Amino acid sequence: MTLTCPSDANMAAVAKQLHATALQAEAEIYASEQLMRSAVNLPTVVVNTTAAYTNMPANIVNELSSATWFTVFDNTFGGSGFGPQNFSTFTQRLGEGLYEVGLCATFVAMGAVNDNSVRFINIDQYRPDPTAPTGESIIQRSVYTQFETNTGVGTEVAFLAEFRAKPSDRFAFQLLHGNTSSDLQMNAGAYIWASKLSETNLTRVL
Amino acid sequence: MPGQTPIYGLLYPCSDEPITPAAFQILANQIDAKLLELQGDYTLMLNRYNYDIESVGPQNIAAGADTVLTGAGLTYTIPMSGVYVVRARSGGIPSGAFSMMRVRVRQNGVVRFGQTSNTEGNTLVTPVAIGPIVAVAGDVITAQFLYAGAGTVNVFSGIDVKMLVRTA
Repeated sequence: MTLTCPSDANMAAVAKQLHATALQAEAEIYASEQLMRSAVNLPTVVVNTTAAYTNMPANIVNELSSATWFTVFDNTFGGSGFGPQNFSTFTQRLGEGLYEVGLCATFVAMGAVNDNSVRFINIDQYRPDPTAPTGESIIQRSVYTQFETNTGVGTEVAFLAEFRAKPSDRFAFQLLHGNTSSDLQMNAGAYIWASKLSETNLTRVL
Repeated sequence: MPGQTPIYGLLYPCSDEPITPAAFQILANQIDAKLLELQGDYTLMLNRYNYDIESVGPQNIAAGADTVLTGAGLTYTIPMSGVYVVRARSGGIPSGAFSMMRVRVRQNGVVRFGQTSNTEGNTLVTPVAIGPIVAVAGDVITAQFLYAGAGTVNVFSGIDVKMLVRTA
């Protein structure tokens, strides 16, 4: 940091020079501070539920983003309209890069439990594709597979995966289960979250 | 009455005030102090808070008892307010049959998330739970373990904590 000094010609304006020096120092320090804080703080969004999401039948894909989500933390610079229900399109705000995306949830049967029935919990990454029947194609799927133990605790999952994403991508959080005797619910207190680890072409120190 | 800059409040004399050496000293000391804080930001930028511990010895837990893990280092106190990713893992082979294992992460004693494993047929599948925690400095992170079955188990456990965002 280089600060200007008073010269012989303006010694009468020392006060003004000190004022200028103080402002100059503040500007230089602030710029450095913001750059370093930006490097430390990964853009991160965390949302959770405060009520159970119920009536998820067996043998179909249940979209967990259809639950009501609330923002727990969001340090991204977003415009209006990016509420927690638009979480799945966070890459539109944060841009292309390497992301860490996670899900934490507890699933319990609303009625009878089928011992050892399967629970597939997916984090899917979709990208627009005009040639696809649905207008988008799946780019990457991260699956956590659980089997119900019928011990009264349901199934709890807490996992994450890394995705290389573009701004147009969206993420889906899904449950597919085989508990045919009753629907499942996702208990209150579930989390989905995303953190941008890096720009595509730059490596961050983690 | 001296003026001050808008962000950090650095003091400077106003034009109608007498200028003394103290004015230079005050401003110099304030700038010095801010640069020292900046050093802290620089250090944190290169050395993000990361913590990883494996328990040195086992902890004996009875079937059906949801038990807080108390091994050395398995309690982590958040050093700086922020958002952290916490991972906990715990497991062992019980003396009796075992059909389910579960590990959960707690913040100040409140469960935040967990992971179950189906271990029917007495197949060891160590549960590992990983998720986000929004914390303030001083918050205490711990884990707890439960298994369904018979007998007792000596579990070996570990937690790791990584800072994503600083909020302080």
